[in-house]
Amino acid sequence: MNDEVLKINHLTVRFGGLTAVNDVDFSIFRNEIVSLIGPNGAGKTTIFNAITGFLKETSGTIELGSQELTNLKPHQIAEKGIVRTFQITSLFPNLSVLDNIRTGHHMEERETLFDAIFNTRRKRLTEDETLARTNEILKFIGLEGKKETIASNLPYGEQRLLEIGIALAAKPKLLLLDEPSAGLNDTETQAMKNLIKKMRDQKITILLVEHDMKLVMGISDRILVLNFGKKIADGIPAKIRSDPEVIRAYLGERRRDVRH
Amino acid sequence: MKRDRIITLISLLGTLIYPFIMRDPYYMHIAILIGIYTLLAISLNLLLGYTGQLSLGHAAFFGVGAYVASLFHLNLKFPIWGGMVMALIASGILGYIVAKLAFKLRGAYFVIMTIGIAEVLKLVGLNWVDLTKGPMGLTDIGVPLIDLGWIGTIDFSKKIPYYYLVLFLVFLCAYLQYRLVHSSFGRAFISIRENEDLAESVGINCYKYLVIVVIVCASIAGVAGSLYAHYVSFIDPGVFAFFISVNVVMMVIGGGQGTLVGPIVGAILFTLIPEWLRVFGDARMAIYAVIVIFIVIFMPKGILFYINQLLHLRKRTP
Repeated sequence: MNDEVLKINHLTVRFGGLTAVNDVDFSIFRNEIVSLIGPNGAGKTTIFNAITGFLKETSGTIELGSQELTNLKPHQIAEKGIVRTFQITSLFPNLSVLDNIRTGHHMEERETLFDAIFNTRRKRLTEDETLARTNEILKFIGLEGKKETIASNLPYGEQRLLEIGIALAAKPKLLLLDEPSAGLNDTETQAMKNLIKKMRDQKITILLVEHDMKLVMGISDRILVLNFGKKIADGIPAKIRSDPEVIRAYLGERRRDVRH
Repeated sequence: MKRDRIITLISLLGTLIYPFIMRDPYYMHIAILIGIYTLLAISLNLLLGYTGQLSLGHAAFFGVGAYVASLFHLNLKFPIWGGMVMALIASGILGYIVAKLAFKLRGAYFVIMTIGIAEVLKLVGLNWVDLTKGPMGLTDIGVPLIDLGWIGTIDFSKKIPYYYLVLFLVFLCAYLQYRLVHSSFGRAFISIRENEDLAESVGINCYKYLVIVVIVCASIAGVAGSLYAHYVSFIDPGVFAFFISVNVVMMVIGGGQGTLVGPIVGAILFTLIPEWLRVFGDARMAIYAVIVIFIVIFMPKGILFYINQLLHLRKRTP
């Protein structure tokens, strides 16, 4: 299919004797929301790390469009349009909300050392553009009232929103979200869900790792299920919900000698 | 904000008229040393304060600057300006090589590597006798007169003209730092300090920016070295000494790392305090050590932070 954004072939990642990801194949298509689920230790975050270059895959290939991403560094992969968030809240803690997002906008800024030192017209224009874009994003994630707040002083829920703001500033084509709703309460999770949908409306393709099944079932176009590093299912939410193998992975097998 | 601006303006004026108030050559001497240390502190602050990488080998760049400027001046009869530019280029190149090697590593490994580089250069200085005269050092480096045609000549062997030369370069570097910090470069530097993984994930090439920082900061340190050599007119491998590196680190941390003014405050204080303590004779360095320990324990955010707090407290209670 032409609309393939990301294609993963026979991906395997080993840490010493442990095979964290075992011969996994999948594709992600344009403007999809795909969820990657599975019990703890199934290899979800490892796949994220392999796609974004934080880990080197043992074997297999990762392709974006028709470009091979193998052996690229994380910042090079970001330049290709894949941006991620992290499982544990990851911000620039001592900077203001505004500066956090401005820093995320780095790739769009085309100033040279010369521009920086002599404060040239181009530099001032770049700064203006950055500021305009930053304000747009602040409005999009709903933090425009907190521009000057230092990131580490934000309430947890808003820190998670800010993380997404930083990622959005990098203009992703494909956004990888690692448990965006972990630790959020119901209202905050609902807000996160709406934000994810809004991002899809902005033509961003989303790959999501998430444990909140209500969120996953309600938002995903397609769900991939991993267990012990292997892909065990791939399909629409309704199909996944009734897949016996998935149920077995999550709930375990029924013991045969159960006595009443 | 307005008050800060007024304080800055008064300090600027103060440095400009300083030679007319303090006619004592001893105080001029101290002021020039402070100026040279300020250059070192500003340059280290770019690395330590903004990108968060601790280097304990800053003396390497200082020493190379001092030797290169002196050797070009003594052997090839370069004018002071030429020597200074050569010092800048040489330390910049050294910075590039060091950064390329050292930033394969982070944290403690990086610190050890920087110490090693300074020590190796000290050994080169001691043992390459044909070039550096070893422990005897280079003497009579001196400062030539600068002929300005019909305006006359400036004699940089006098303290007052030299003071203004140093002051000019301090202003220049402080301005350079200000510009860098308030640009996308500055934001990239700070992002490395704050969260390197996140920085990478939004496309910031941390390795590249660390190399840029070290080149800039090495070049400034090299200029400081050349100023020092021409000022005292004598250098030996002691310019690579570990205590110089440590001193500069103390100035940056004690003054306020990651701020524009902190390292300047640090350079002033940590040059003045040991001088004031001369009255205690042999006990001087011991007392100095105690003061430093107190500053680190009670003012971990750097003196500047606490001065600011005092100023703002006073503003609130009229």
